Amino acid sequence: MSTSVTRDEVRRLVGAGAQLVEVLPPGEYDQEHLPGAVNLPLKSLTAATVAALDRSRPVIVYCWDGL
Amino acid sequence: MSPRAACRLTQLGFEPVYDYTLGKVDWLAAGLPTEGAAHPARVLDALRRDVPTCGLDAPGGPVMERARLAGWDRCVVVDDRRVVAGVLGAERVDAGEQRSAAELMAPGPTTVRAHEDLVATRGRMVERHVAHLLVTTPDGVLLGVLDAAGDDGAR
Repeated sequence: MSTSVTRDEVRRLVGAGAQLVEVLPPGEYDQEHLPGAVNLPLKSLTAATVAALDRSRPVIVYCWDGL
Repeated sequence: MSPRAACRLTQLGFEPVYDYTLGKVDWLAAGLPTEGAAHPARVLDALRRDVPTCGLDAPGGPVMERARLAGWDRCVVVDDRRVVAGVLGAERVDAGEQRSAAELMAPGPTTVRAHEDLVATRGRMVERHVAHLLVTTPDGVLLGVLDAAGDDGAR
């Protein structure tokens, strides 16, 4: 179960060590993404691809606007 | 998209997982820094944030008069969270009108998102003879107005 967070909460969580994950396609990530975000497109979320994430730290996902 | 991604990561054993649902649109609209290569111009880049607004209960005539004095022919009617309810147009409201903005407004105006491609959006506006579009967040909060004609002083 995930928790929806606001912009201010994102900044606080990232400051405390959370990982930012943009789930949009690579082209959109390459053009512009939040500072420090990594790109794991929704369609590629598998046990293998998420191995790049640190399981000991919280994860924040985002796209354009949730839709 | 991000809610599904959050669900997927939870299934894959991550904990905690947070979903920044308002996402890049919200981040960009707040003017916060980003990283990456150059991007095509977006609606956000041409957004005019100084459009007049009023509450639902405001008397239409005085509201419209203030808008006219500021050089506008419209006023956006918003609720207390700044969610767009409608638009008051000069052609619909006399200066002495005392009925509320909610009674006088044209409800449910068409809106556009801040991250959309600026050139393509303006192209569609010209095709459809739309001079202005309201720009809102996904949850309807007013960000500003986009003019079809660009920064040529037209309001």
